[in-house]
Amino acid sequence: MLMAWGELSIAENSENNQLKAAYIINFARFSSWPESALESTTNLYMCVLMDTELGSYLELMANRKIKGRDVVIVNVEAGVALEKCHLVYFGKGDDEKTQRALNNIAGISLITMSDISGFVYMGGMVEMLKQGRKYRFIVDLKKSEAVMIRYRSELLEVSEVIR
Amino acid sequence: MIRNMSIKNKLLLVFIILTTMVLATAFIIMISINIKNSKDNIASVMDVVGSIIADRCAASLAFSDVESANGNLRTLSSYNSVVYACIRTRDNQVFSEYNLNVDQVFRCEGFSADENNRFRNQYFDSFKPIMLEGEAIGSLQIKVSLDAYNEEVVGAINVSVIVFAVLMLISIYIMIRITNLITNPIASLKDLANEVTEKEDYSLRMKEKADDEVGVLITTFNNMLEQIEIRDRDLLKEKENAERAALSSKRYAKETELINADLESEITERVRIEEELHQLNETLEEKVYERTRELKEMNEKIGDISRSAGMAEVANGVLHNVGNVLNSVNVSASMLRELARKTKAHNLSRVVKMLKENKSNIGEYISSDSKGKQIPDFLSLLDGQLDEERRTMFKELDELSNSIDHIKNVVSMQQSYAGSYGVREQIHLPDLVEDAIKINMEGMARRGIRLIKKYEDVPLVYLDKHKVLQIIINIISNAKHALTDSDNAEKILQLFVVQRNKELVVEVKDTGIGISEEDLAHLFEYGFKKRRGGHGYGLHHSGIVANELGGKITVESEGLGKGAIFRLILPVTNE
Repeated sequence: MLMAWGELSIAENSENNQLKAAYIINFARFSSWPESALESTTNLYMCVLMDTELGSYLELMANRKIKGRDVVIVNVEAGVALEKCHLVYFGKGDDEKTQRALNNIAGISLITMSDISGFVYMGGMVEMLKQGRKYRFIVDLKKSEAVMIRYRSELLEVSEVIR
Repeated sequence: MIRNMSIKNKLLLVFIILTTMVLATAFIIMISINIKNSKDNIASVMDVVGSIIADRCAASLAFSDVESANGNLRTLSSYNSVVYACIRTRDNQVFSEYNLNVDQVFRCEGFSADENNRFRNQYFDSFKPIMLEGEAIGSLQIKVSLDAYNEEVVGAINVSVIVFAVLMLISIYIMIRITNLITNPIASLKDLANEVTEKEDYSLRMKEKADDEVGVLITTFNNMLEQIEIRDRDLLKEKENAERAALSSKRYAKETELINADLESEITERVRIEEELHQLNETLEEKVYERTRELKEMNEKIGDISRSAGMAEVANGVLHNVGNVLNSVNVSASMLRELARKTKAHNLSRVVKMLKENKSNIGEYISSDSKGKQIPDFLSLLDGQLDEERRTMFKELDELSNSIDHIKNVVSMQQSYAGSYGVREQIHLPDLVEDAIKINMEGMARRGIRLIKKYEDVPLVYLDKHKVLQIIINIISNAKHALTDSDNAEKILQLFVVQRNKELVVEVKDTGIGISEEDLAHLFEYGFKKRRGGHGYGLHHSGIVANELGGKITVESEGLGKGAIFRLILPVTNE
């Protein structure tokens, strides 16, 4: 019974990560970066911090270009420089490391996203809030605009916006 | 049927047909354009609306936000004609729906990555793909009901029909006014033409005037009536003249009949006169022949007497003189015969025959027939000719009569001369000269002899007229023969009667063959002759007689070919 319950959790987790990955990819599609963040590379780097499983699902879904750029999923460990990333997803883990990382990349034109509860209050830009079988975004528009990250209005319509 | 319509109705019909065609075509085109534009408008609007909705639904679809998608679809409620809308995912799942009327059930079409618009039945469907980063993640369908559109079209058609009807009425009204302007003058002209025809009154005129083609027609019609009026008057005059002419033709025909009757009797009379003349001619010839025979016998006797009494010259002279006159008689008789033969009187018979053939319609024949019309002129000409013939005949008869008288006198004269002196009487020499000319007149003109006479005012003399006449006849006859025998182009015979002191001179001057000096000496000898056919005792005898009268005959000639002058010189005696 525990095994079954365990198997069910694995399946749920997998589905959840798939969904999460889909949302992250789609979110990126509705976002735009400043030219300064994109000119040095032809790729769009999505970095996943402390959640390699999500990273692998992201890799599976990143087969289409975003903004005409190939999506490169990078699984990174804490402490690694994240300046080259365009979107950093913070997996659930050590909050101190998360905070430290957020502090390090403050002012850099990249999207910080996580499903950590209260992420936007930690300094993150986008928090993914699971509602039933879907996610809802909480977007800190002020922080985003500070690093010149823009979102399409349609995205904001389906999101909760914090100014 | 159209052919029998009035011009006004024809024009109206044409105008109405044309106006109807034009307006109907215009309205049909307008409505068609309107319908097309409306459809295009619907498609265009839905295209834009669909694009906006699809765009807005991208995020909803990407993040599976059904509520957001429903909210977007619900914005279509502001379009009353949008009855249904739905969103299908890429997996062909219905993601969101909007239905204006829940009682109506519509089917959401399957996912399509292509844009598509179509009008189907009473609906218009617009299909829009929902794109995200160039990838169709879903499709939007919007269904529009065409009821409102149809109502709009029907309304537009109704309005068009009303406008069409109003415009037609206005057009018809204007057409009627214009048609009246055009056809009223024509109708008036028609009425006038009818009135003229019925009343045959060509003095009527059209008073309306216009500056267009109808105006020209009116002016021309008026001119035509004027012409007809004038010609009608002329025709009446001609008719009256013709009637008068017909009457006078009848009268003329009658008169012609009478004239013809007169002509016939005159012709008969002339024919009778001709026959008498002919008979007279023959009688005359017989008489002349008889007389000649008697004269011959007498001459023989005279000749005997002359020979015995030395008067042979007298007999010869008588013969010669009478012979001269007999020539004239013969000539006159021949002329009369010739005249009788050539008389134009026989032409009258042809005319009489033609008139008799057309007796029944003689007036018309004379006035109308090509030959008949020539009869009056022909008769007039014939009358002149016959008159001329008659004058000529009478002239010849007069001369004949004179000649015969002369013969008688000559014979009497010679008879008396043979035994006694001739009768002396007061004579006017110019008259005798004229008589002698008459006796010798025959053939002068034919021989080209030009006669010039000049008589002074001479006193009467007391002489034997016939002796003097004989001499003058002889001299003139000789001169005539000399001219006849001459080759001179100019044959002139000049006769003068002048007084020189106590003598009267009868001078006969010719431009004939002339007399040589040698012949001059022998001219008056008995038997001397130069002319073929002459007897040689004319001049001899004349000389003797002249002596007996107390006068003489002289002769001058410059030679052969230079003519001669004979002068009979007689004393002026009053006893």
